[in-house]
Parts: sequence; structure tokens; C-alpha cells
Amino acid sequence: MASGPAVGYEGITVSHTVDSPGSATVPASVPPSPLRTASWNRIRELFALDPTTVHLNTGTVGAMPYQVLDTVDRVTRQWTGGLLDVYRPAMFTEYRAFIGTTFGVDEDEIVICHNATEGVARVIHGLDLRASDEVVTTTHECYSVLSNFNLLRNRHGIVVRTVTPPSGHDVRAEEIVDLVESAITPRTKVLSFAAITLFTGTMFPVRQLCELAHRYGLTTVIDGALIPGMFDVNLRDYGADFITCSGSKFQCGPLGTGLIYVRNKVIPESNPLPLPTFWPLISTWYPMMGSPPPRTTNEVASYNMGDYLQSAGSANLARGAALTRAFELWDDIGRDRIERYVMELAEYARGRLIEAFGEEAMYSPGADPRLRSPLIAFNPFRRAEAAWNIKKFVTFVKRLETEHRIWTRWTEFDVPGSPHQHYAARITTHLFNTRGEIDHSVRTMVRLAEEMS
Amino acid sequence: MTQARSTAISAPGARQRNILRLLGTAAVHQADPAAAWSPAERQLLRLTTRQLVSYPGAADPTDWRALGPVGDLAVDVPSTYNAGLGASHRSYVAHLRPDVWWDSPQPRRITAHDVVRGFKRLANPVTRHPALPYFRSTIRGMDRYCDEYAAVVAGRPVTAALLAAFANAHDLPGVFALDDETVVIELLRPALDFPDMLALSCASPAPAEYDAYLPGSTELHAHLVASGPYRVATWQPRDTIRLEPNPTWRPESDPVRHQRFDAVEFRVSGDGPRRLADQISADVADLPWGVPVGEVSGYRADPFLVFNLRDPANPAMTTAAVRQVIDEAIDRSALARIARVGDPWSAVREAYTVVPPGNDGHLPSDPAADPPAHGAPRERLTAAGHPNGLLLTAVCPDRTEELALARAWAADLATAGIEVRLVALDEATHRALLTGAAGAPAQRWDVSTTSWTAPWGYGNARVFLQPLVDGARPNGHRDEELDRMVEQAVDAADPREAVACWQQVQRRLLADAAVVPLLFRRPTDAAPRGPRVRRADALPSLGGLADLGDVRLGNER
Repeated sequence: MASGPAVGYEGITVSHTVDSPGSATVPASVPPSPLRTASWNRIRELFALDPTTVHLNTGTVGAMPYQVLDTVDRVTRQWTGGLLDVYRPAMFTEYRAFIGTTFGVDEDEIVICHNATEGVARVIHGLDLRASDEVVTTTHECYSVLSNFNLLRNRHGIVVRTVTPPSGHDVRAEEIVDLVESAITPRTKVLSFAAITLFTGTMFPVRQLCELAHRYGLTTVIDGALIPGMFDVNLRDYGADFITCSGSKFQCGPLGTGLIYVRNKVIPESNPLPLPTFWPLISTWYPMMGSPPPRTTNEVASYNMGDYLQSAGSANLARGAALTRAFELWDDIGRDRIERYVMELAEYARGRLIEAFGEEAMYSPGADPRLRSPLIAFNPFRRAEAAWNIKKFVTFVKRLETEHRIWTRWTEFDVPGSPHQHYAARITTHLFNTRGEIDHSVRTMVRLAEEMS
Repeated sequence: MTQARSTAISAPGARQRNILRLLGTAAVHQADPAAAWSPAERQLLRLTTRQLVSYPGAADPTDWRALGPVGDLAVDVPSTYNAGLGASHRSYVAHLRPDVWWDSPQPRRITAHDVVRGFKRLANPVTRHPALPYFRSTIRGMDRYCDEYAAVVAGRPVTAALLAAFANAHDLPGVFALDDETVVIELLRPALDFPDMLALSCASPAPAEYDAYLPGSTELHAHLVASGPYRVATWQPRDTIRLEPNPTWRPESDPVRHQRFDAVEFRVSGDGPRRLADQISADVADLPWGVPVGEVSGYRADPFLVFNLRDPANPAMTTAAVRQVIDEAIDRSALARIARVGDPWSAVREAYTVVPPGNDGHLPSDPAADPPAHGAPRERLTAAGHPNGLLLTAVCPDRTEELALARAWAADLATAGIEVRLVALDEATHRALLTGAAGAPAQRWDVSTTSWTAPWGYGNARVFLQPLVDGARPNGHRDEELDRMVEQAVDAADPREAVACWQQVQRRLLADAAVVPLLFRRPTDAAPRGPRVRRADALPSLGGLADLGDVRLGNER
């Protein structure tokens, strides 16, 4: 392990580095990182970005900072060919503690897993659901959420009730909460939704929905793939039971990294409900005989649920180190500062897109600030019916990429009341993007859409 | 015959020995995808048409690879993983191969617009395709389109121009082309069996030339335009149908069919099954056609009785008690004996439920749950208000075995006081009567024999039952409760739930005797093969008939 001040790329000093498992505690004497006040142009230089491209697709995958890339390489080499115990460090105890601190939760509540899909699958299949129990979710969930609930339906006979959330500039949070509440029945056991939907970039009213779940006694499963690296949040404040995250999207960690937040203590102001029964799938440390102690009913954990989930044989130690390195960088830059920048840039982009294509072209909410996110989905074409022409969107995104080096993506989703599958172009703003890039991209998209309309 | 086709033809007399020779006991009458339905007809269409997706041949028909379609005219089966199917499972996007051609006078590529035209033709009121109920309840706007199409021709002389004018002026809302090579099909609700529906020959694309002819007509058969590896050279359904290679077909763009022969000949033999087997053994022909050549897991319903519930010749037919007398009066064991003689290539069982064994939703008959009615059939007919008996008109295909079976059950009914006037019809007329086609002759009827082979073998809970509850058909049984059950069944996204719902439908149909099952049959591997045959795979989607797209002979190229 190496810690303490280190020199980063382009002469920027970072507060500390963690190369291998061990204490990641930041010494009290370490001064604030110069990154805290570094310009966004300087921060952009930390990233392994192709200078000839505009990366507006962090909603799919972020860009790794050079230091993260180096950590992957360095730690892989450290552990190659040695005879060290690989099982103990694979618990990632210190990394989990460090990441937990960032999110205001404890090490026993955080698991480093392989990606958000694996995380959500382990959560869904660990739920104590039986035949006829109902799950309420939306049609705008990631496939990995819907497919795993369908698997449970096939396996155990649960009932999956889906609602199609509204989309468009004028959507308000209350519409979403009311819609979700209308689907809850006496048999509902679980409420599952994305914090930010990948299709329309709607920031769901997470706390409001969790409070709704508390009123009905429901377990909450949140697909929070986009949360890390986007928001300066305390995960516990959401009041959810489970939040699964990606490490490689807004957090810009290596591909194949994810997080699971699992509520492991009862803190009434966060979530007053008893801890749900949960079966930690894929676990070396779950007892081989007997059962774990009863789950706690107060603020002191009765056992380390995080360890049960984390213990899954050997692990890629470099990924844990590199993901933690990405977290350290974010802390150095300042997560509050990043969130502010990302959201301001998103508002700038939203304004430019509305200016170019009109409010009616927007699938992402904009009028209600509670629903805004840095993912913005829209129909750039003149005719409304182009919205159900997949070819136009595939071509649009492809041409942006190949002819203009602008990386976006297309998405597909249901729209309430429409018989069609709708498609949208989607851009994502992140800390390495600039207003100049947005201006250039919107201008290019206007020209291209006009040509294709 | 004037064929609408490209001018390139195979050299006469060349390699005449390289002919696939098929001998069958019954004629086929249709090679128009909008009208053809019997397994034998679809066996022929396998060679002359393309579909968006198709089943590949497999040496073992129970192999899962034989049960799921693969891309055919479409590059792939639309799925979530190739951007062909949204998460809601209601929007299919099919991307067409760029190098599939019509054998038209000026060969041209098959486009998405041809696929749209194919679906519109399927909705035509003249042929009322037997598989239409599957599509009406699945594709967005198909039901209404069919109704509006029928309303346009009602009470008017039906002409090709009238049909084409409607089709060209009216969009089918759920089927549209994005461009030449992309077609979107939107569903009312998720249907996991929709790829199987797309694999049916009735979902084939149609060339613009077909607008000039009435669907299924003799004129159209003189102007068939092929897209498969063969095209029709001679069309004499009751004697010989001869196919020759389609010069516009390209092997690299067809993943399921081959073009191995200089010609394929279908000849009709008026002889019985034993004589047919002898001829094939003697190398007079290579394979039987219309006869299963290998085992498949599911039985077929063959035959069963349906009733004219909409406009019967005898109004008594609408009374459930009368239909129940018919059900109970028929001796299935006697019918099974007749069938075993006429069809030595199938395992035959007595049938008491609609869905045959080996298909989703089959229910074994349960004597405890369905005890036999008290009293002799004759007494029960009297109790139903017909002490002097009844005279019914029965229609039946004019095939030897089916007539023999009909005479047997008619004799059973006679003992119950029901006299049956038997009318033998050619298959096309018989089908038109059953489906309520606009072009059907004015033949009044009460009861009919029919048969049904599952057109797909996996996840097929709806295939036997849905046509029996289709209100557009004369035999379509409907009541409010049944309508609710059917709606629930087609709405069920979970296959297990769908099976349970369709089983409810089945129970209600049986309780009302809206259908009288007689026999189930399953192909065995006893069918004869000529000495030259090296490979002839049984296709489950054709009830075990040979996949003519991949037959290999000992002397082939």
C-alpha cells in the first residue's frame, strides 16, 4: 500500500493513493487537494479521453482517469506471480470503508461487485419472495432488472406489476408518485425503480417513493447505476433497502466494477421499517451450518451483511483498488462541486436542445427541477412520427459518431397511451464535458437532423 | 400458362434424373400464401416462398433448434438483443436481407413494402385464411382492418380491383415499412409466439403483381411469383405439379433452403396407402407428400367435428343439448380402426379433448370430472325437444379416408335418431365454408369434419383453440364468459398463465359441445422412403412432413 500525497498527471498533486488493500484513511494532516480548486480544463486532462471526440455518453460508460488506468495496471502486476493470500484482501474491507464514508454509510453496508447488473441480480434473487407476492416496478427499468424479476416470476410465481412512467418536459414528480402508488396492492412486497432512468433520463423522486414504500411496508430496490460520480449523496438518506450502482459510468472506474448498498441497521429517520429478510447469494462466509443471528432492530448491526455478500472467492484486486482510486479523485475534486457542474452543464444543454428542437421534442423532464438529470433524451427530427422509426435514431447516432466524432446513444421506451415503441437520442453531460462541446454538438445535431428529416 | 417470372429457364432435358419425385394420395389446391393452409400446401410453399423467419430443418425434430425459427428473409429473428424488439415486447423491427429477389419478369428485390402487402392480403375477406384468428388478436389494428375490408366487399361483386383499391388506400396500423429494408410490426400485447406466427407461410411477402388477381384464384395460380428456390412450372393440382429452379434465388441469402434438383414433381396417386408405399419402395417416387416422414412430439387433432353456429341449415344445431347427443353417440374406437387402415403411418388415439397430447394445454380426459350423461342418446335427443329425430347436413373433404370416417359417425348418429346428409367437397370449398370466406359457395350446412395440425410446436397453447372461438367463423363459439376467458388468455404474458387460461376455454367449449373431438394422430417413422433418399427431415411445424428444402438423394449433385 502507498498513501500520502502523490503527484498526479500534469503536475496536479492528489491527496493520497491506495494501490492495494490496507488502510485508506486519509491522514488528518493532508491538506486539501489542489484538485479542489483546479479548473475544469485542468481536471479534464486527468481523463484518458480522445481529444478528437466529444464524449456525451457517460450514461453508458464513463472515461477512466489516467490514475485509475494506472492503478489497474500497477496492482495487477503487484499481485501477479506472488504467493500472497488473495482471499483476505478480496474482502476489500478498507476500500468498502472508504467508499462507504463517501456515501455516508458503513462498511457492512457496502459491497464491491462486478457491475450494476450483477449487483441488482444478487439483490433481486436474495429477496424473500414467494408465490403471489407482488413487485411493483416500471417499464423503463434496465433490462437486467426486468429480466431478473421475470426469472423470479418463472421460478417462484411472483407477480410483476409494471407501470409506464410519463415522459416529456412537463412531467412532475407527483405524477410519478401517484402512478406508482396506484399499482400497489395488498400483496405488494417490493417497490423497485431506477433512481435515474436510462431511457429518458428521468430523475425519479427517490426519497418520495421510498417514503411511499415505508407507508405500505414495502422493501425498496433501487437501480442506482448512475448515482456514483454524479451526485454528492448520502445513500442512507434515500431511505431505501437496496441500491445497486455502477462503478464505470459517472464514477469512471474500470469496466466491471459495481457497488451494492444493503441496509443493515435500522435508523428510523432514514427508514423506520424492520430490515427485510434477505438471502445473500454467492457467499463464502455465510454460515455453513446454522443461521446468522437475527437481524438487528436498531442502529447497531447484528452481523456484517456486506461481508456475506463480498465473500465470493478470489477477486480482481486491481479493480477494487482502481475503483477506490476513482472515488478518491472525486473526493479530491469535490463531489459537491462535480454535481453542481454536471447539473449546470445539463441545464445548459437542455436549454440549447429546447432552443434547437422545441420543448415538445423532449422526452426528459425539465419543468420540474426535481426530475432533471444530466441524461437528456429527445427527438431531433422534424416529424413526430420519426420517434418510432428506429432506423433514423440508429443512423443519427451512428453518423454523429462516425462523421462527427460525437458519442451519444439512442434509447427505446414505452410512452403512456402510445401504441408505438418510441426512440430517442440521448446525451449525457459529465465533468469532462464543456459548454463548447455542447454548442458544437447541438449545432451538429441540428444540421444532421435537418438533413435526415 | 402464362407465368409472371424472369425469362431465365433451365435447359430442357438437362439432368432429368436429378428430379425429386413426390407421390401423394391427395391433391393440393393452393399455392397462394394468402389461401394455402394444409400441411401439404405449406410443404410445397416451403420451396416457392420466403418468410421473415423460418424453421430450420433438423435431423432430430425434437431438437430445440428445430422448434425455434431463425432469420429467413429477415436477417435475424427480431429480439431485444439485436434491437429488433423493445422491452415491452410489442414492437418488432425486422431488417430484411438485401439480396432476396422476386422471380418477376424484371427480377427485383423483395422489400419491406412487399411484407406489408403480404399482411394486407392475409386480411382479405375472400380467402379468410384459417390462421387469421392468431393475427387478428395479436397485430395492432388487424382485427379492425379485416372487418373494414369485409365491409367493403359485402354485397358487391368481389373483384381484384376492389380488393387492391382498399388495400392500397388503407394502412394496416400495426404493420409499416420504415424504408425498403425495414418493417415494423406492432402488437396489441406481448405475444411470445409471434415469431412462430411470422414463420407461417401466410405471413409471406406478396409482390405487387398479385394485386391484379383474386387471392387463391386460378388466375393467380397462372401468375405465381416465386421467392424461394423453386418456381411453379406446371400447375395441375389433381394430377401433377412441377417445380423448376428459380433462377433469381441465391443460396447465400437463404439459410434454410437448398436448390439441389433440376425439378421437383408432385404427383397425385388415387391409390391407397399400401399401393403408395409399394410404389415408393419400387423407386417410382422418392417420398410421399402430405404424409409425415418422421416422429414429432405433438399429436394433431384429426378429425374433429365443428358446428355451424351462425347460420346452420337446421336451427337445432345451436342447442348445446343436441350437440352433446352427437358427442356421446359417436363410437371413437370404430373410427380409430378405420383411421389405422387409411393412415398406417400414424399412431391413432381416441380423442375426448380439443388439444392433443404433446401440445401446451392438453388435458387428459377425466371421466370423474365429466361423467357420461344419463340415458341413451335417442332418449336425450327426445328430451332436447326432438322426439322425431333430426336431419343434419354434414360437409366433409372429398378424401377417401375422411369419407369413410364420416360414414361411420353418421351411422352412429342414425342410431340416435339423427339422419345425416353427407356432402363431400373439395378441400378449397370446404375450407371456405368453415372460415366464412366471402367467396364461399352458398352451401347450407350444420356439421363438418375438420382437422388441425399445430403450426408451431413450442409455446402453442392457443393454436387449437383460438380458431374455434373466432367470431368471424361460422363455427366460432362465443358467449360473454368465453370472450372474457379468451381475452384473459391472449393477455397472459406468462406462458403458464396462458396455458391455464386456454385450458379454461377448452373446458367451456367441451362443456357446450361446441366441438366434438374424434381422433388424435401422431406421425411415426413408418412412412416409406425411396431407395435414393439420403436425408428427409421431419418438420414439426408441418406436423412431421418432410422439409423439402433440404432433401438429399443418393445421386444428387
